[in-house]
Amino acid sequence: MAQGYLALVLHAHLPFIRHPEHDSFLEENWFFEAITDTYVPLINVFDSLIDDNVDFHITVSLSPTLISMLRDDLLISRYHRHLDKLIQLTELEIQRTGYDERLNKLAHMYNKRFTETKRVFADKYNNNILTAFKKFQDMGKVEVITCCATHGYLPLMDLYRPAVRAQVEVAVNTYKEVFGKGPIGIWLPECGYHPGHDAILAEFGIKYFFVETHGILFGEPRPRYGVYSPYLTSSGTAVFGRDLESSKSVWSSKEGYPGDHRYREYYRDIGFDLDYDYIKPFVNNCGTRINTGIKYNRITGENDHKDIYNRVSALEAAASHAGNFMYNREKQVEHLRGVMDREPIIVSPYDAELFGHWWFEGPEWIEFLFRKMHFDQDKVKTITPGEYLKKYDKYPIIQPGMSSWGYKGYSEVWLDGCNDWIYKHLHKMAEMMTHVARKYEKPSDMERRVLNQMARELLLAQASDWAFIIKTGTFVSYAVNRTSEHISHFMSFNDQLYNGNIDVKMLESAESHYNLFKDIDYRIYV
Amino acid sequence: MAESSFDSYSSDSKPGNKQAIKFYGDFKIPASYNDHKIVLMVRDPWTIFSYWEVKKEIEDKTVHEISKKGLQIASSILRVYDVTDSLDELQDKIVFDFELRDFIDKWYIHTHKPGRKWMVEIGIKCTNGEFFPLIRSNVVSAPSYGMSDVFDDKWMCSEDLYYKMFAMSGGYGVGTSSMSLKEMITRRLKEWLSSGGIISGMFGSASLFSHHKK
Repeated sequence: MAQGYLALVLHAHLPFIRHPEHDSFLEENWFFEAITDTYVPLINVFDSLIDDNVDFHITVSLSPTLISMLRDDLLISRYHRHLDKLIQLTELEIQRTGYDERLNKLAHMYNKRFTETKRVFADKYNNNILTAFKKFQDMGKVEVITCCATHGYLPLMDLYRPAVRAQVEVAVNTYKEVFGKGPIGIWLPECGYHPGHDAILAEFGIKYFFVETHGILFGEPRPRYGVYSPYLTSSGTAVFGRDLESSKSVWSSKEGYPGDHRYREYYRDIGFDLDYDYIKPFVNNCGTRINTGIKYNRITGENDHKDIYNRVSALEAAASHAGNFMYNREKQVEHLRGVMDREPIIVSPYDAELFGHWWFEGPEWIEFLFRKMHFDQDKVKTITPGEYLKKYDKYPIIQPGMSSWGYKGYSEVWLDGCNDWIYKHLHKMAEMMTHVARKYEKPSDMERRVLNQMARELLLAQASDWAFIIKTGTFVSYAVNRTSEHISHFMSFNDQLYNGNIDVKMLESAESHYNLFKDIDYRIYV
Repeated sequence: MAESSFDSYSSDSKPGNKQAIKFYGDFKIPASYNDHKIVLMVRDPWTIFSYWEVKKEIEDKTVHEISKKGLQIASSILRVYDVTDSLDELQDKIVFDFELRDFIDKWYIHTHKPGRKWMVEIGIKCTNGEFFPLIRSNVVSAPSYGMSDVFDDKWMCSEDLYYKMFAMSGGYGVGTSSMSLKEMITRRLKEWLSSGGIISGMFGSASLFSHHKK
C-alpha cells in the first residue's frame, strides 16, 4: 500500500526557430539535437515500460512552440537530412576508430543509436512523435500538459493582462488541436507565477500549475503541508510546489547524479576534437565547429584529462543512482507520513532536455527508476498531479507568492541591465495590440491577416528565451535579432494598418516564415 | 496614471525620423514611442524597476509654471512612495528621491523591504524643496519574504508542526525541531536563493542553449 507519491514533471520546450530563407541554420540544430537526444529516447523508455507492463505515471509539458516545430514539414525534412548526415558520420567513425576497440565499440553504439532513432521517428511514429505522447496519455501513463504560447515570462507581463490571457489561450488552442481536448495542467514558463494569473488559467479550464518551493512556503495563509500537498488558489486552480531535496539530486551538476565521473562528458565532442578537414562536411555550413553529438569520453574528474566512455559502467551508475533516488524518496515519505494526516506528494520538475542531451544517461535513469519503483517496493508510487487531485475532496487554500525557478528565485534573469530594454517594446506592443483588436471589429480579409500576424509577432517577441539568452551571454546576437525583428515587423504592420497601405509581399513573407498558430484570432486581445 | 499614445506612434516611426529609430541587431526599432508614461515592475522582494518616457512639451509647461512662481529648479527627481496602506497623503509616504542625470530613462530601486506596495513619480524638485510631478506610475506589490503570520483556521496545526513542514520543504530533515528553526530556515532559504537557487551551477533552466560550462 502506497504511503506517498512521486510526481516527476518534465518540461519540454524550445523557442520557435525556423529559417526557410537559409539552406541550413545553426540554431535549428537545437531542435534536431533535442529530438535525437531527449524526445525519442524518452519515447523509447515509455514504450519499453509499457511493453513490460511496468506501471508508471509521469507528467510532460510540451510547449506550443515545440509542438509547432514538431508539426512543421520543413523542419521535419531538415531533421531527416541532419540524421542521415549523422549516420553517415558514424559510418566513417566506425572505419576511423578501427585502431581502438573501445572507441570502435562506441562508434558502433552511435551508429546503432541514430539508425534506431530514425526508425522510431520516421517509421514507428510516421514523422510525428506527438502521436506517441498522445498514445501514452490515452493509456493513462503520461499526463501531457501545456505551457504558454511562446514561453512568455508572465510575471513581467502582468501589467498587460490581455497579453497574459493570450499566451494562455493560444497554448490551450494549440494543445486541443493535437490532443483533442483541453489541457488539465500548465507549466508556467520558468515556473514564473504572479498573483492573479491563476484566475486566467481557470478561465480556460486548467486545473493546476506549479510554483517554486518558496512560492508555497511564503504563501498566505501559512501552508499546512509545506510543498507536499497541492493547495487551491482563490480561483479554484490548484497549485503544486517543487520539492527541493529531490530536485537537487538531479539538477545539480556537482552534488547531483549527472556529475558522476562514469557518465558521458558533454563538453568533449568530435565536432571540436577531430581534424577540421575530416569533420568539416558534418559541421555548420559556414564552417564553424559545432557539437555533433558523438562523444567518446566520460566525465572522469575535474581536470582536462578524460578517459574513454564505458557504456556498461555508465549504465551501472544510472541504475545505482535510480536506486538511491528511490531509497531517498521512501525515507522522505516515511518522514512525511509522521507529520502529515494525508498521503504526501513529492513534485520533482525538470527541463526535459536535461535527460539525454545534458545528462546522456538521464532517460535510462528514468527507466531504471520506474522499474525499481514498480518491482522493488510499494511505499512510494508515481502519480500525476491530475490523478492526485482526485484523491481528496478538500485541499487547503493559499495565495502563492510571486516566484520563479530562475536564478535567485524571482525575475532577475529576465529583468537585468542587459535585457531590460525589451520591456518598453513588449509592453507597448501589448497596448497597441489590445487597441487595434478593439478598433477593428469588422476588418477586411487583408486587415484580418495583418492583425493575426501582429498577434504572432507579439507572441514571438515575448518568448522568455530571448531575454534569457541575452542574460547568459551565448547566442546573444541571435536573441537580439529575433526580438528586434518581431518588434520591427509588428510596428511596420501597425503602420500599414493605420495608413491603409498593406504591404502584401511583406505580409506573405512573415506568414510563411513564422507559420505557427495558423488559426490564431487577433480578437483574443480584445 | 501613465498616458500612452497608440496611433500617434505611426507618425513618429516614419523612415527619416532618425531620432525615433534605433538599431538592435539587423532591425530598426523605435527609440521612443512619443509617450508620456512611467512603468513600474517588480524584480524581486527587494527590488523594483522603472522605465519612462516624458514628453518634452509637458516638461516645458511645468518648467514655465515653476518660473512663473519665481522658484529655482534644483533637479529632476525619481520619487518613490511606499503606498502599502493607501494612496492618500502621499507627502508622508516618500521613501526615496533619486536625482536623475541627463538621458536616464530607467532605474532599479533597491527598497530592501519585501511585501510592500510601491509607486513612483518623475518630477522636478526646486531649491526650496517644492516638488512638481510630471508623471505617476502604476502601483506594484513586491512579494513577501518569509513564512506568513496569517493562519487558515480550517487547516490549523501546532506551531511546531508548521516549522517541521517548512523545514522539510526547505530541505531540512524532520529530526530538526525547534522554534529557532524559523530564523534558521529563512536564513538558509535566503542564502540558497541569493546563491542562485537550484539553477546555480546546474544545467540551466532553459533547454539546449542555456548551459553553463562546468
